[in-house]
Amino acid sequence: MSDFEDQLRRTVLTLADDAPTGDELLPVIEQRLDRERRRRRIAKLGGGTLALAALIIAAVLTVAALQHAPAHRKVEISTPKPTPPQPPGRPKQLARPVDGIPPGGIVVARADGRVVLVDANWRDVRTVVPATPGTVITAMAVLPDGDHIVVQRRPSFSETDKQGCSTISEINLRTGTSVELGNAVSFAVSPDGTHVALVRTDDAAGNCVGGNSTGATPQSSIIVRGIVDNNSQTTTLGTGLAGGVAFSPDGRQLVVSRCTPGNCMDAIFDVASNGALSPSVTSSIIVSSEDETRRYAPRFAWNTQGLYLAHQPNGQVREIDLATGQDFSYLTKETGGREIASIAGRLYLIDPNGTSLLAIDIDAAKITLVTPDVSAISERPSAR
Amino acid sequence: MPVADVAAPAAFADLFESQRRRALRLAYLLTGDHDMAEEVVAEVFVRLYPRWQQSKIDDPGAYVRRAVINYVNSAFRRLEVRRRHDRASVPRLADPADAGVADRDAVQRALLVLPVRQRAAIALRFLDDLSEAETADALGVSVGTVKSQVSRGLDRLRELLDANQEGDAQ
Repeated sequence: MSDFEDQLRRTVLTLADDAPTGDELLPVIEQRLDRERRRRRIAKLGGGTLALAALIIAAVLTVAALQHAPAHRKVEISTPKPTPPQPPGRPKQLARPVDGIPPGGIVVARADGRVVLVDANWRDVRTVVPATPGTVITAMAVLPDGDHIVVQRRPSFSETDKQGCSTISEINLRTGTSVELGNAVSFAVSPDGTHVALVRTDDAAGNCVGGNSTGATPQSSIIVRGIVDNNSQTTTLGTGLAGGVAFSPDGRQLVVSRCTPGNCMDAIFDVASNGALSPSVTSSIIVSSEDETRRYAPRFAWNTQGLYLAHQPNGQVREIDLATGQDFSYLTKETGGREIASIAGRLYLIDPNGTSLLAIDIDAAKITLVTPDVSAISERPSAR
Repeated sequence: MPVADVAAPAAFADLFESQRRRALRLAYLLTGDHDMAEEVVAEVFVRLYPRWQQSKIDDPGAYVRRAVINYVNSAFRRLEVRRRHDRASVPRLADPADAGVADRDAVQRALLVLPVRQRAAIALRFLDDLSEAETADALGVSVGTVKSQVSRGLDRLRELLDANQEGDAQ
Protein backbone atom coordinates (compact mmCIF):
# COMPACT_ATOMS: atom_id res chain seq x y z
CA MET A 1 0.00 0.00 0.00
CA SER A 2 1.46 3.38 -1.02
CA ASP A 3 1.87 6.30 1.36
CA PHE A 4 -1.04 8.00 -0.31
CA GLU A 5 -3.30 4.99 0.18
CA ASP A 6 -2.15 4.58 3.76
CA GLN A 7 -2.89 8.21 4.54
CA LEU A 8 -6.18 8.00 2.71
CA ARG A 9 -7.17 4.93 4.66
CA ARG A 10 -6.52 6.65 7.98
CA THR A 11 -8.52 9.68 6.90
CA VAL A 12 -11.40 7.54 5.65
CA LEU A 13 -11.53 5.71 8.98
CA THR A 14 -11.52 9.01 10.85
CA LEU A 15 -14.21 10.30 8.55
CA ALA A 16 -16.37 7.24 9.17
CA ASP A 17 -16.09 7.90 12.91
CA ASP A 18 -18.18 11.02 12.25
CA ALA A 19 -21.06 8.84 11.06
CA PRO A 20 -24.31 9.17 13.01
CA THR A 21 -24.72 6.68 15.82
CA GLY A 22 -28.28 5.75 14.90
CA ASP A 23 -29.26 5.47 18.57
CA GLU A 24 -32.78 6.67 17.76
CA LEU A 25 -33.13 4.74 14.55
CA LEU A 26 -34.72 1.50 15.75
CA PRO A 27 -37.99 3.17 16.88
CA VAL A 28 -38.18 4.86 13.48
CA ILE A 29 -37.77 1.51 11.73
CA GLU A 30 -40.32 -0.14 14.03
CA GLN A 31 -42.77 2.65 13.35
CA ARG A 32 -42.43 2.19 9.62
CA LEU A 33 -42.77 -1.57 9.95
CA ASP A 34 -45.84 -1.13 12.11
CA ARG A 35 -47.40 1.19 9.54
CA GLU A 36 -46.83 -1.44 6.88
CA ARG A 37 -48.34 -4.20 9.07
CA ARG A 38 -51.45 -2.14 9.71
CA ARG A 39 -51.81 -1.35 6.03
CA ARG A 40 -51.65 -5.05 5.15
CA ARG A 41 -54.03 -6.00 7.96
CA ILE A 42 -56.61 -3.48 6.81
CA ALA A 43 -56.15 -4.47 3.19
CA LYS A 44 -56.86 -8.09 4.17
CA LEU A 45 -60.07 -7.13 5.93
CA GLY A 46 -61.15 -5.24 2.82
CA GLY A 47 -64.55 -3.82 1.99
CA GLY A 48 -66.66 -0.76 2.84
CA THR A 49 -65.72 1.52 5.66
CA LEU A 50 -62.54 -0.30 6.59
CA ALA A 51 -61.18 -0.04 3.08
CA LEU A 52 -62.10 3.64 2.99
CA ALA A 53 -60.45 4.21 6.36
CA ALA A 54 -57.37 2.36 5.16
CA LEU A 55 -57.19 4.57 2.12
CA ILE A 56 -57.49 7.71 4.22
CA ILE A 57 -54.82 6.48 6.65
CA ALA A 58 -52.57 5.45 3.80
CA ALA A 59 -53.04 8.80 2.11
CA VAL A 60 -52.31 10.74 5.32
CA LEU A 61 -49.29 8.61 6.13
CA THR A 62 -48.04 8.88 2.59
CA VAL A 63 -48.35 12.65 2.56
CA ALA A 64 -46.61 12.78 5.92
CA ALA A 65 -43.90 10.42 4.75
CA LEU A 66 -43.35 12.39 1.57
CA GLN A 67 -43.24 15.65 3.49
CA HIS A 68 -40.63 14.33 5.90
CA ALA A 69 -38.64 12.32 3.43
CA PRO A 70 -35.53 13.71 1.76
CA ALA A 71 -36.08 15.61 -1.46
CA HIS A 72 -35.30 12.61 -3.65
CA ARG A 73 -38.37 10.79 -2.33
CA LYS A 74 -40.76 13.52 -3.35
CA VAL A 75 -42.82 12.71 -6.39
CA GLU A 76 -44.79 15.22 -8.37
CA ILE A 77 -48.16 13.58 -8.03
CA SER A 78 -51.35 15.53 -7.68
CA THR A 79 -54.36 14.43 -5.68
CA PRO A 80 -56.45 12.08 -7.82
CA LYS A 81 -59.43 13.95 -9.13
CA PRO A 82 -62.67 12.42 -10.34
CA THR A 83 -63.34 13.27 -13.94
CA PRO A 84 -66.89 13.54 -15.25
CA PRO A 85 -68.03 10.30 -16.84
CA GLN A 86 -66.58 10.13 -20.32
CA PRO A 87 -69.08 9.15 -22.96
CA PRO A 88 -67.67 6.23 -24.87
CA GLY A 89 -66.81 6.81 -28.48
CA ARG A 90 -69.51 5.98 -30.99
CA PRO A 91 -69.50 2.22 -31.56
CA LYS A 92 -68.66 1.34 -35.10
CA GLN A 93 -69.08 -1.90 -36.92
CA LEU A 94 -65.62 -3.29 -37.34
CA ALA A 95 -66.05 -6.77 -38.59
CA ARG A 96 -68.30 -9.73 -38.71
CA PRO A 97 -68.95 -11.25 -35.27
CA VAL A 98 -66.76 -14.14 -34.20
CA ASP A 99 -66.57 -16.45 -31.23
CA GLY A 100 -64.75 -15.18 -28.17
CA ILE A 101 -61.36 -16.31 -26.91
CA PRO A 102 -61.52 -19.61 -24.99
CA PRO A 103 -60.14 -19.74 -21.41
CA GLY A 104 -56.35 -19.70 -21.49
CA GLY A 105 -56.40 -18.83 -25.21
CA ILE A 106 -53.44 -16.87 -26.55
CA VAL A 107 -53.81 -14.28 -29.28
CA VAL A 108 -51.11 -12.48 -31.26
CA ALA A 109 -51.25 -9.47 -33.55
CA ARG A 110 -49.75 -9.92 -37.00
CA ALA A 111 -47.98 -7.30 -39.09
CA ASP A 112 -51.10 -6.70 -41.20
CA GLY A 113 -53.10 -5.75 -38.12
CA ARG A 114 -54.97 -9.06 -37.72
CA VAL A 115 -55.45 -10.57 -34.30
CA VAL A 116 -55.28 -14.34 -34.44
CA LEU A 117 -55.84 -17.10 -31.92
CA VAL A 118 -52.80 -19.39 -31.90
CA ASP A 119 -52.20 -22.93 -30.71
CA ALA A 120 -49.42 -24.22 -28.44
CA ASN A 121 -47.04 -24.26 -31.41
CA TRP A 122 -47.81 -20.63 -32.28
CA ARG A 123 -49.70 -21.66 -35.41
CA ASP A 124 -52.78 -19.63 -36.39
CA VAL A 125 -56.06 -21.27 -35.38
CA ARG A 126 -58.47 -18.54 -36.49
CA THR A 127 -58.65 -14.78 -37.01
CA VAL A 128 -60.59 -12.97 -34.29
CA VAL A 129 -60.01 -9.41 -35.55
CA PRO A 130 -59.50 -8.89 -39.29
CA ALA A 131 -56.74 -6.81 -40.83
CA THR A 132 -57.05 -3.04 -40.81
CA PRO A 133 -54.89 -1.85 -43.70
CA GLY A 134 -52.28 0.76 -42.82
CA THR A 135 -52.33 0.08 -39.09
CA VAL A 136 -50.36 -2.07 -36.73
CA ILE A 137 -51.36 -3.24 -33.24
CA THR A 138 -48.66 -2.40 -30.70
CA ALA A 139 -50.34 -3.79 -27.58
CA MET A 140 -53.51 -5.62 -26.65
CA ALA A 141 -55.34 -7.27 -23.77
CA VAL A 142 -58.07 -9.91 -23.74
CA LEU A 143 -60.68 -9.26 -21.05
CA PRO A 144 -61.56 -12.10 -18.64
CA ASP A 145 -64.90 -12.75 -20.38
CA GLY A 146 -63.05 -13.66 -23.58
CA ASP A 147 -65.55 -11.67 -25.64
CA HIS A 148 -63.82 -8.30 -25.45
CA ILE A 149 -60.33 -7.28 -26.44
CA VAL A 150 -58.62 -3.91 -26.00
CA VAL A 151 -56.09 -2.98 -28.68
CA GLN A 152 -53.65 -0.15 -29.21
CA ARG A 153 -53.16 0.80 -32.88
CA ARG A 154 -50.97 3.20 -34.74
CA PRO A 155 -50.44 3.88 -38.44
CA SER A 156 -47.97 1.30 -39.75
CA PHE A 157 -46.08 3.87 -41.83
CA SER A 158 -45.36 6.11 -38.84
CA GLU A 159 -41.84 5.03 -37.96
CA THR A 160 -41.33 8.00 -35.67
CA ASP A 161 -44.38 7.20 -33.60
CA LYS A 162 -43.50 3.74 -32.35
CA GLN A 163 -44.01 4.62 -28.73
CA GLY A 164 -46.02 7.77 -29.21
CA CYS A 165 -49.69 8.26 -28.55
CA SER A 166 -51.98 5.97 -30.43
CA THR A 167 -55.59 4.92 -30.32
CA ILE A 168 -56.90 2.53 -27.68
CA SER A 169 -60.11 0.73 -28.63
CA GLU A 170 -62.28 -1.94 -27.11
CA ILE A 171 -63.57 -4.54 -29.57
CA ASN A 172 -66.58 -6.72 -28.85
CA LEU A 173 -65.78 -9.90 -30.72
CA ARG A 174 -69.33 -11.27 -30.56
CA THR A 175 -70.90 -8.16 -32.12
CA GLY A 176 -67.92 -7.09 -34.20
CA THR A 177 -68.18 -3.51 -32.92
CA SER A 178 -65.35 -1.29 -31.75
CA VAL A 179 -65.48 1.60 -29.27
CA GLU A 180 -62.63 4.10 -28.96
CA LEU A 181 -61.45 4.51 -25.35
CA GLY A 182 -58.98 7.33 -26.02
CA ASN A 183 -55.43 8.15 -27.03
CA ALA A 184 -52.54 7.04 -24.86
CA VAL A 185 -48.88 6.05 -24.80
CA SER A 186 -49.75 2.73 -23.20
CA PHE A 187 -52.58 1.02 -21.37
CA ALA A 188 -53.30 -1.82 -18.97
CA VAL A 189 -56.51 -3.63 -18.10
CA SER A 190 -57.15 -4.61 -14.47
CA PRO A 191 -57.09 -8.38 -13.86
CA ASP A 192 -60.85 -8.43 -13.21
CA GLY A 193 -61.48 -6.55 -16.44
CA THR A 194 -63.37 -3.70 -14.77
CA HIS A 195 -60.87 -0.87 -15.32
CA VAL A 196 -58.49 0.28 -17.99
CA ALA A 197 -55.51 2.51 -17.15
CA LEU A 198 -54.45 4.89 -19.91
CA VAL A 199 -51.07 6.62 -19.62
CA ARG A 200 -50.63 9.87 -21.52
CA THR A 201 -48.03 12.52 -22.11
CA ASP A 202 -49.53 15.84 -23.20
CA ASP A 203 -48.04 19.05 -24.53
CA ALA A 204 -49.03 22.46 -23.20
CA ALA A 205 -52.09 22.47 -25.42
CA GLY A 206 -53.31 19.16 -24.00
CA ASN A 207 -52.46 17.10 -27.09
CA CYS A 208 -51.30 13.56 -26.41
CA VAL A 209 -47.74 13.59 -27.76
CA GLY A 210 -46.24 10.37 -26.39
CA GLY A 211 -42.50 10.04 -26.86
CA ASN A 212 -42.32 12.60 -29.64
CA SER A 213 -42.60 15.75 -27.65
CA THR A 214 -40.21 18.50 -28.59
CA GLY A 215 -41.69 20.80 -25.99
CA ALA A 216 -39.74 21.58 -22.84
CA THR A 217 -42.24 20.42 -20.26
CA PRO A 218 -44.60 17.69 -21.42
CA GLN A 219 -46.92 16.55 -18.64
CA SER A 220 -47.79 12.93 -17.98
CA SER A 221 -50.89 11.52 -16.37
CA ILE A 222 -52.78 8.27 -15.76
CA ILE A 223 -56.48 7.97 -16.37
CA VAL A 224 -58.09 4.96 -14.72
CA ARG A 225 -61.46 4.42 -16.32
CA GLY A 226 -64.31 2.04 -15.56
CA ILE A 227 -64.90 -0.11 -18.61
CA VAL A 228 -68.61 -0.45 -17.90
CA ASP A 229 -69.55 2.83 -16.19
CA ASN A 230 -66.95 5.04 -17.92
CA ASN A 231 -66.24 6.89 -14.67
CA SER A 232 -62.63 7.95 -14.67
CA GLN A 233 -60.00 9.19 -12.23
CA THR A 234 -57.08 11.24 -13.48
CA THR A 235 -53.78 11.35 -11.60
CA THR A 236 -51.12 13.80 -12.75
CA LEU A 237 -47.60 12.39 -12.72
CA GLY A 238 -45.79 15.64 -13.46
CA THR A 239 -43.32 16.55 -16.15
CA GLY A 240 -41.65 13.92 -18.27
CA LEU A 241 -42.59 11.33 -20.81
CA ALA A 242 -44.76 8.46 -19.62
CA GLY A 243 -44.08 4.87 -20.57
CA GLY A 244 -45.41 1.52 -19.48
CA VAL A 245 -48.16 0.72 -17.04
CA ALA A 246 -49.21 -2.56 -15.41
CA PHE A 247 -51.59 -3.76 -12.71
CA SER A 248 -50.43 -6.13 -9.99
CA PRO A 249 -51.87 -9.67 -10.26
CA ASP A 250 -54.41 -8.86 -7.51
CA GLY A 251 -55.36 -5.56 -9.15
CA ARG A 252 -54.67 -3.59 -5.98
CA GLN A 253 -51.56 -1.84 -7.22
CA LEU A 254 -50.37 -0.27 -10.41
CA VAL A 255 -46.89 0.61 -11.63
CA VAL A 256 -46.10 3.31 -14.15
CA SER A 257 -42.84 4.65 -15.59
CA ARG A 258 -41.93 8.20 -16.48
CA CYS A 259 -38.72 9.64 -17.91
CA THR A 260 -37.17 13.05 -17.65
CA PRO A 261 -33.84 13.70 -19.41
CA GLY A 262 -31.33 11.10 -18.28
CA ASN A 263 -33.57 9.62 -15.65
CA CYS A 264 -36.49 7.18 -15.54
CA MET A 265 -38.67 6.52 -12.52
CA ASP A 266 -41.20 3.87 -11.71
CA ALA A 267 -43.96 4.82 -9.29
CA ILE A 268 -46.18 2.26 -7.59
CA PHE A 269 -49.71 3.27 -6.63
CA ASP A 270 -52.43 1.67 -4.56
CA VAL A 271 -55.65 1.40 -6.55
CA ALA A 272 -59.00 2.09 -4.87
CA SER A 273 -62.15 0.27 -5.97
CA ASN A 274 -63.27 3.38 -7.88
CA GLY A 275 -59.96 3.56 -9.73
CA ALA A 276 -58.49 6.40 -7.65
CA LEU A 277 -54.73 6.12 -7.14
CA SER A 278 -52.65 6.93 -4.10
CA PRO A 279 -48.87 6.56 -3.93
CA SER A 280 -47.98 3.26 -2.33
CA VAL A 281 -46.64 3.62 1.19
CA THR A 282 -43.95 1.01 0.72
CA SER A 283 -42.73 1.78 -2.76
CA SER A 284 -43.65 5.29 -3.73
CA ILE A 285 -40.81 5.53 -6.17
CA ILE A 286 -38.13 3.35 -7.65
CA VAL A 287 -35.51 4.77 -9.93
CA SER A 288 -35.25 2.23 -12.70
CA SER A 289 -32.78 3.27 -15.31
CA GLU A 290 -31.42 6.09 -17.32
CA ASP A 291 -32.70 7.03 -20.71
CA GLU A 292 -30.65 9.72 -22.41
CA THR A 293 -33.12 9.93 -25.25
CA ARG A 294 -36.20 10.29 -23.03
CA ARG A 295 -38.15 8.60 -25.78
CA TYR A 296 -38.59 5.11 -24.47
CA ALA A 297 -39.69 4.74 -20.89
CA PRO A 298 -39.64 1.17 -19.52
CA ARG A 299 -42.48 -1.30 -20.03
CA PHE A 300 -43.70 -3.74 -17.41
CA ALA A 301 -44.98 -7.26 -16.88
CA TRP A 302 -46.32 -8.05 -13.42
CA ASN A 303 -47.24 -11.63 -12.64
CA THR A 304 -47.37 -13.74 -9.51
CA GLN A 305 -43.65 -14.44 -9.82
CA GLY A 306 -42.71 -10.77 -9.67
CA LEU A 307 -42.54 -7.37 -11.32
CA TYR A 308 -40.37 -7.22 -14.42
CA LEU A 309 -39.23 -4.30 -16.47
CA ALA A 310 -37.96 -4.11 -20.05
CA HIS A 311 -35.97 -1.09 -21.06
CA GLN A 312 -35.37 -0.61 -24.73
CA PRO A 313 -32.46 1.86 -25.01
CA ASN A 314 -30.12 0.02 -22.65
CA GLY A 315 -31.43 -3.42 -23.57
CA GLN A 316 -32.06 -4.51 -20.01
CA VAL A 317 -34.68 -6.76 -18.52
CA ARG A 318 -34.83 -6.23 -14.78
CA GLU A 319 -36.70 -7.67 -11.87
CA ILE A 320 -37.90 -5.34 -9.16
CA ASP A 321 -37.78 -6.86 -5.68
CA LEU A 322 -41.02 -5.57 -4.19
CA ALA A 323 -39.84 -6.40 -0.67
CA THR A 324 -36.71 -4.28 -0.88
CA GLY A 325 -37.51 -1.93 -3.75
CA GLN A 326 -34.24 -2.82 -5.41
CA ASP A 327 -34.06 -3.85 -9.01
CA PHE A 328 -31.78 -6.45 -10.45
CA SER A 329 -30.64 -6.62 -14.02
CA TYR A 330 -30.47 -10.24 -15.00
CA LEU A 331 -30.58 -10.00 -18.75
CA THR A 332 -29.10 -7.62 -21.21
CA LYS A 333 -29.81 -7.90 -24.87
CA GLU A 334 -28.20 -5.53 -27.33
CA THR A 335 -31.48 -4.35 -28.70
CA GLY A 336 -33.77 -4.75 -25.71
CA GLY A 337 -37.50 -5.14 -26.11
CA ARG A 338 -40.33 -2.79 -26.92
CA GLU A 339 -42.94 -4.57 -24.84
CA ILE A 340 -42.74 -7.23 -22.15
CA ALA A 341 -45.63 -9.60 -21.40
CA SER A 342 -46.38 -12.45 -19.05
CA ILE A 343 -48.16 -15.23 -20.92
CA ALA A 344 -49.06 -18.49 -19.19
CA GLY A 345 -46.60 -17.62 -16.44
CA ARG A 346 -43.68 -17.11 -18.82
CA LEU A 347 -42.12 -13.84 -19.90
CA TYR A 348 -42.00 -12.68 -23.50
CA LEU A 349 -40.60 -9.66 -25.28
CA ILE A 350 -41.66 -8.00 -28.48
CA ASP A 351 -38.46 -6.99 -30.26
CA PRO A 352 -37.69 -3.27 -30.72
CA ASN A 353 -38.95 -3.29 -34.30
CA GLY A 354 -42.23 -4.76 -33.14
CA THR A 355 -42.00 -7.67 -35.53
CA SER A 356 -40.93 -10.72 -33.51
CA LEU A 357 -41.86 -12.55 -30.35
CA LEU A 358 -38.95 -13.43 -28.07
CA ALA A 359 -39.04 -15.70 -25.02
CA ILE A 360 -37.18 -14.82 -21.84
CA ASP A 361 -35.69 -17.82 -20.08
CA ILE A 362 -34.89 -16.57 -16.61
CA ASP A 363 -33.07 -19.66 -15.40
CA ALA A 364 -30.84 -19.88 -18.44
CA ALA A 365 -30.58 -16.07 -18.61
CA LYS A 366 -31.19 -15.93 -22.32
CA ILE A 367 -33.61 -14.53 -24.85
CA THR A 368 -34.62 -16.62 -27.86
CA LEU A 369 -36.74 -16.02 -30.92
CA VAL A 370 -40.13 -17.76 -30.65
CA THR A 371 -41.83 -16.72 -33.84
CA PRO A 372 -41.63 -13.85 -36.33
CA ASP A 373 -44.49 -11.64 -37.48
CA VAL A 374 -45.86 -10.76 -34.05
CA SER A 375 -46.35 -7.16 -32.96
CA ALA A 376 -48.35 -7.80 -29.76
CA ILE A 377 -49.49 -10.71 -27.61
CA SER A 378 -52.09 -11.38 -24.92
CA GLU A 379 -53.89 -14.27 -23.26
CA ARG A 380 -57.37 -14.53 -21.81
CA PRO A 381 -56.90 -14.21 -18.05
CA SER A 382 -58.76 -16.47 -15.70
CA ALA A 383 -61.89 -14.89 -14.22
CA ARG A 384 -61.46 -13.65 -10.64
CA MET B 1 -41.71 10.42 18.10
CA PRO B 2 -44.64 8.07 18.71
CA VAL B 3 -43.72 4.59 19.72
CA ALA B 4 -44.76 1.83 17.35
CA ASP B 5 -47.77 -0.24 18.40
CA VAL B 6 -45.98 -3.51 17.85
CA ALA B 7 -42.24 -3.62 18.27
CA ALA B 8 -40.13 -5.78 15.98
CA PRO B 9 -39.03 -9.06 17.57
CA ALA B 10 -36.03 -8.89 19.87
CA ALA B 11 -34.03 -10.95 17.41
CA PHE B 12 -34.54 -8.27 14.77
CA ALA B 13 -33.45 -5.61 17.25
CA ASP B 14 -30.33 -7.69 17.89
CA LEU B 15 -29.70 -7.94 14.18
CA PHE B 16 -30.08 -4.19 13.84
CA GLU B 17 -27.72 -3.58 16.73
CA SER B 18 -25.09 -5.87 15.28
CA GLN B 19 -25.20 -4.21 11.86
CA ARG B 20 -26.15 -0.64 12.70
CA ARG B 21 -22.75 0.92 13.21
CA ARG B 22 -21.14 -0.62 10.15
CA ALA B 23 -24.12 0.22 7.94
CA LEU B 24 -24.20 3.83 9.12
CA ARG B 25 -20.46 4.29 8.58
CA LEU B 26 -20.77 3.00 5.03
CA ALA B 27 -23.91 5.02 4.32
CA TYR B 28 -22.25 8.14 5.71
CA LEU B 29 -19.18 7.70 3.53
CA LEU B 30 -21.40 7.20 0.49
CA THR B 31 -23.76 10.09 1.14
CA GLY B 32 -21.62 12.53 3.14
CA ASP B 33 -24.68 13.50 5.13
CA HIS B 34 -25.88 12.43 8.58
CA ASP B 35 -29.62 12.61 7.84
CA MET B 36 -29.30 10.83 4.52
CA ALA B 37 -27.17 8.10 6.07
CA GLU B 38 -29.83 7.47 8.71
CA GLU B 39 -32.58 7.51 6.09
CA VAL B 40 -30.71 4.99 3.95
CA VAL B 41 -30.10 2.63 6.85
CA ALA B 42 -33.68 2.92 8.11
CA GLU B 43 -35.07 2.09 4.67
CA VAL B 44 -32.64 -0.78 4.22
CA PHE B 45 -33.78 -2.38 7.47
CA VAL B 46 -37.48 -1.79 6.72
CA ARG B 47 -37.02 -3.56 3.39
CA LEU B 48 -34.83 -6.25 4.92
CA TYR B 49 -37.43 -7.19 7.54
CA PRO B 50 -39.82 -9.29 5.42
CA ARG B 51 -36.93 -11.23 3.89
CA TRP B 52 -35.38 -11.74 7.29
CA GLN B 53 -38.74 -13.04 8.59
CA GLN B 54 -38.81 -15.57 5.77
CA SER B 55 -35.26 -16.65 6.60
CA LYS B 56 -34.11 -15.60 3.16
CA ILE B 57 -30.96 -13.87 4.37
CA ASP B 58 -27.95 -16.10 4.94
CA ASP B 59 -25.39 -13.41 5.62
CA PRO B 60 -27.01 -10.29 7.11
CA GLY B 61 -23.75 -8.32 7.04
CA ALA B 62 -23.26 -8.86 3.33
CA TYR B 63 -26.95 -8.25 2.64
CA VAL B 64 -27.00 -4.95 4.51
CA ARG B 65 -23.75 -3.83 2.87
CA ARG B 66 -25.09 -4.58 -0.56
CA ALA B 67 -28.49 -3.08 0.17
CA VAL B 68 -26.93 0.18 1.40
CA ILE B 69 -24.84 0.47 -1.76
CA ASN B 70 -27.75 -0.39 -4.05
CA TYR B 71 -30.09 1.99 -2.28
CA VAL B 72 -27.64 4.86 -2.53
CA ASN B 73 -26.79 3.94 -6.10
CA SER B 74 -30.36 3.77 -7.34
CA ALA B 75 -32.58 5.98 -5.24
CA PHE B 76 -30.00 8.72 -4.92
CA ARG B 77 -28.95 8.71 -8.56
CA ARG B 78 -30.73 11.89 -9.48
CA LEU B 79 -29.31 13.65 -6.48
CA GLU B 80 -25.85 12.39 -7.31
CA VAL B 81 -25.96 13.76 -10.83
CA ARG B 82 -26.81 17.15 -9.46
CA ARG B 83 -24.14 16.89 -6.82
CA ARG B 84 -21.47 15.87 -9.25
CA HIS B 85 -22.18 19.00 -11.24
CA ASP B 86 -22.16 21.08 -8.10
CA ARG B 87 -18.85 19.63 -7.05
CA ALA B 88 -17.04 19.64 -10.36
CA SER B 89 -14.08 21.12 -8.52
CA VAL B 90 -13.26 20.42 -4.90
CA PRO B 91 -13.68 23.62 -2.93
CA ARG B 92 -10.71 24.61 -0.78
CA LEU B 93 -10.95 25.38 2.87
CA ALA B 94 -9.74 28.87 3.69
CA ASP B 95 -7.25 29.01 6.57
CA PRO B 96 -8.16 25.74 8.18
CA ALA B 97 -7.68 25.97 11.88
CA ASP B 98 -7.13 22.26 12.20
CA ALA B 99 -5.14 20.49 9.50
CA GLY B 100 -6.75 17.15 10.37
CA VAL B 101 -10.22 18.51 9.92
CA ALA B 102 -9.14 20.13 6.67
CA ASP B 103 -7.79 16.81 5.37
CA ARG B 104 -10.93 15.01 6.37
CA ASP B 105 -13.11 17.63 4.77
CA ALA B 106 -11.10 17.54 1.55
CA VAL B 107 -11.24 13.74 1.41
CA GLN B 108 -14.97 13.75 2.04
CA ARG B 109 -15.58 16.29 -0.71
CA ALA B 110 -13.30 14.43 -3.07
CA LEU B 111 -15.06 11.12 -2.33
CA LEU B 112 -18.40 12.67 -3.17
CA VAL B 113 -17.12 13.65 -6.59
CA LEU B 114 -16.56 9.99 -7.48
CA PRO B 115 -19.34 7.86 -9.00
CA VAL B 116 -21.15 5.86 -6.32
CA ARG B 117 -19.65 2.53 -7.42
CA GLN B 118 -16.08 3.85 -7.25
CA ARG B 119 -16.82 5.49 -3.92
CA ALA B 120 -18.28 2.24 -2.62
CA ALA B 121 -15.31 0.19 -3.84
CA ILE B 122 -12.90 2.47 -2.01
CA ALA B 123 -15.07 2.67 1.09
CA LEU B 124 -15.34 -1.12 1.32
CA ARG B 125 -11.62 -1.56 0.84
CA PHE B 126 -10.59 0.93 3.49
CA LEU B 127 -13.52 0.73 5.86
CA ASP B 128 -14.27 -2.97 6.06
CA ASP B 129 -10.96 -4.35 4.85
CA LEU B 130 -12.80 -6.48 2.34
CA SER B 131 -10.91 -8.58 -0.16
CA GLU B 132 -11.39 -7.86 -3.84
CA ALA B 133 -13.65 -10.91 -4.13
CA GLU B 134 -15.79 -9.79 -1.18
CA THR B 135 -15.97 -6.26 -2.58
CA ALA B 136 -16.98 -7.67 -5.96
CA ASP B 137 -19.75 -9.65 -4.28
CA ALA B 138 -20.98 -6.59 -2.39
CA LEU B 139 -21.04 -4.51 -5.55
CA GLY B 140 -22.45 -7.28 -7.72
CA VAL B 141 -19.60 -6.95 -10.22
CA SER B 142 -16.52 -8.96 -11.24
CA VAL B 143 -13.18 -8.84 -9.43
CA GLY B 144 -11.67 -7.20 -12.50
CA THR B 145 -14.22 -4.42 -12.31
CA VAL B 146 -13.44 -3.90 -8.63
CA LYS B 147 -9.74 -3.57 -9.44
CA SER B 148 -10.40 -0.99 -12.12
CA GLN B 149 -12.94 0.88 -9.96
CA VAL B 150 -10.49 1.14 -7.06
CA SER B 151 -7.62 2.08 -9.32
CA ARG B 152 -9.57 4.77 -11.14
CA GLY B 153 -11.08 6.00 -7.90
CA LEU B 154 -7.68 6.35 -6.24
CA ASP B 155 -6.25 8.14 -9.28
CA ARG B 156 -9.14 10.57 -9.28
CA LEU B 157 -8.89 11.15 -5.53
CA ARG B 158 -5.15 11.81 -5.82
CA GLU B 159 -5.81 14.26 -8.61
CA LEU B 160 -8.53 16.07 -6.69
CA LEU B 161 -6.59 16.22 -3.44
CA ASP B 162 -3.42 17.42 -5.23
CA ALA B 163 -5.44 20.16 -6.87
CA ASN B 164 -6.84 21.08 -3.49
CA GLN B 165 -3.37 21.28 -1.95
CA GLU B 166 -2.08 23.40 -4.80
CA GLY B 167 -4.99 25.72 -4.25
CA ASP B 168 -4.10 25.96 -0.58
CA ALA B 169 -0.48 26.72 -1.40
CA GLN B 170 -1.34 29.64 -3.68
